[in-house]
Amino acid sequence: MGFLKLSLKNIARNRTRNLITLTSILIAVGVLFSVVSYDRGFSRSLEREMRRTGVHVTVVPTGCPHEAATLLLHGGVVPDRLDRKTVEGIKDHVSDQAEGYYPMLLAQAHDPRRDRLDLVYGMPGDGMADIKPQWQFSAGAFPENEEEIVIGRSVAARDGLRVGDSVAYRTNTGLPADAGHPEVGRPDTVGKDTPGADTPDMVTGYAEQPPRADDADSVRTFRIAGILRTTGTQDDDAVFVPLSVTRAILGDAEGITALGIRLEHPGAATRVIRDIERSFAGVQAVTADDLLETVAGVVQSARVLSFSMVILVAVVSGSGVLNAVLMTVFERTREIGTMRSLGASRLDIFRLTMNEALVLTFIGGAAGIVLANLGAPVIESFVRGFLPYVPEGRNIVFDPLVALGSLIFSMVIGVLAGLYPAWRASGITPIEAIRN
Amino acid sequence: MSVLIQTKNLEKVYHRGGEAVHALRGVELEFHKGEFATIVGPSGSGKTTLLHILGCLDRPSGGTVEIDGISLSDISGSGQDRIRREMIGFVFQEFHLIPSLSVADNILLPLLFSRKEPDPGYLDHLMETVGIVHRKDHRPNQLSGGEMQRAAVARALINRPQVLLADEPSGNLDTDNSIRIFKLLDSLKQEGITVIVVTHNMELAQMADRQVHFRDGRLADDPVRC
Repeated sequence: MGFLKLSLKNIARNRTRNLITLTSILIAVGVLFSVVSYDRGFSRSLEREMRRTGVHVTVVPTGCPHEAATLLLHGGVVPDRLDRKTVEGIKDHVSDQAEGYYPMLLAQAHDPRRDRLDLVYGMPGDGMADIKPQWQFSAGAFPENEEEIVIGRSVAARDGLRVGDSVAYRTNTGLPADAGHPEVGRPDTVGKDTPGADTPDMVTGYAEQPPRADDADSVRTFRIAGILRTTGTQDDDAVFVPLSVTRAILGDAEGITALGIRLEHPGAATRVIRDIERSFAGVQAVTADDLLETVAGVVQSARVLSFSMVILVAVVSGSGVLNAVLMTVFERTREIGTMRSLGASRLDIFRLTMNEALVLTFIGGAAGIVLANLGAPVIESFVRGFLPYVPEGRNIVFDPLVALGSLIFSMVIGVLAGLYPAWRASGITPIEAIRN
Repeated sequence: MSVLIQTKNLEKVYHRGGEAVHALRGVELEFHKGEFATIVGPSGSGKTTLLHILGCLDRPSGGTVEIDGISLSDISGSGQDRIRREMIGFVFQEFHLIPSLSVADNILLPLLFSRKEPDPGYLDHLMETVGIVHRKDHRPNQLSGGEMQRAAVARALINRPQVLLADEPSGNLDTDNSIRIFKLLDSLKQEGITVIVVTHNMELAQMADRQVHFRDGRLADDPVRC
């Protein structure tokens, strides 16, 4: 029998008390592991997502710096727009450094057939792959012409849409000549492959609800070329259409919400931004790094709160361990005295007591890591519910270093919590204990 | 027989509530190797205090104690730990077995502190000697008082000590078990172990080679009534 076995046997004597203590350690370490894993995963995913946008500089109307981040990441509608003159001026200004331009225009569009108001994200059809290189499709691919669109996973699931189906959007009257080719609604082509439908028309009702005659010249239909895989971002709820469509929807032939610029040398981004902001009033330009910083700033408060919670839980659970071990020492004073009379040194008693604290925190810590890892999907979906932006994919990924760090953290709690009881136990003299 | 334990002018004073209580007053004693001695005397006569000092559980206020030539007054706390581990075995009135350990693990416990590997053969021999081999895997609460005390004796012997100190080992036992324990202790002298037993029971005390009588912290010249 070794010291460890003796400590384990002692722990087993107070199962209920030690189980409660274990649970508190489990929670502390589980929370720590989740927070650190999520933080690392979030930062990694965010950086990857930012770097993959393919747009080095984004120019938007002057406003809250968060708007730029919102625009690219969150999908919100920014009310101000850049006018054509400004856009052309910027293009001319950076033409020797730019490799490509990606105008973006966001709008809310009404589909009279589905009676849906969609968030419509207008961008050059041939530029989608550059702006959103991280996209993965559950079906279909990027559009090949101006009559094709991409829809988010949630939109597809909500309305039972498939690749090849079509959607229709009402446009403003006075559609600009270059805004595309409005077509009269073609209800017989819509919703053909809707899953579970007895007949297409019965499910979608599109054939029964054709556009009104006065809408005929203001509704355009589009074929769904691709359906995105779930991204976990607002892209899931958006529809991506050619820029001309959002212009037509808004009745604005010139304005854009943002201008993305791909630079020949991405390292020149800071200089280009300074140059643009100095030369054009009413605009601000940001890089992917700025966006990264902005989003990171938004989540910083959540991070501080989370770590504060971890520290609080650690203090509480550490106190629990200290209390449990100290109670054990008091209860076993005579046993400790017996061991001293059998030749145990002060160090032996210190070690035995400290072992108990460490075993408790080790088991609790390991269980916390395992449970946090198993519960990662639940934690992720919970976090997605209240953070303004969460990168796509799984952010809590098992990282052996984080697991090791969390385990060391729990052991540190064990050492700190075990010090006082161990010191008290080792100070018990045999004669005092035997007389106890 | 050679002298194993020697005390000279041994004093022990306790201070209780500002008052000095003399537990031992100039005790001069010798115990020989392989001797079975009992210490008898009324409560408060100092016999248990003497046992604790001989067993390095307490320090004297004055005088000297030597075990096998080692002066206990000159050694540190860790030195006392070592003497307890290597030279002394203890048996207590209330057995003091660890309830969470099996009988075998209780007996082997001192080896943990002396960092010695258990010798299964010796463990079996000890358990056979004290008659609890059938209780090897039982917990202390499954044993009778006599069995617990015999397990405690086996535990005291596992480190092969030179001295076995027992404080009222029959105090919680019936007559048959008390006699059995004393016979067991008596048998140890054949292995060269010095056995010193504190007891109130005069009949049992007479089973020893020698009785040391205590009264008021001093050796009594004549037998005392307990």
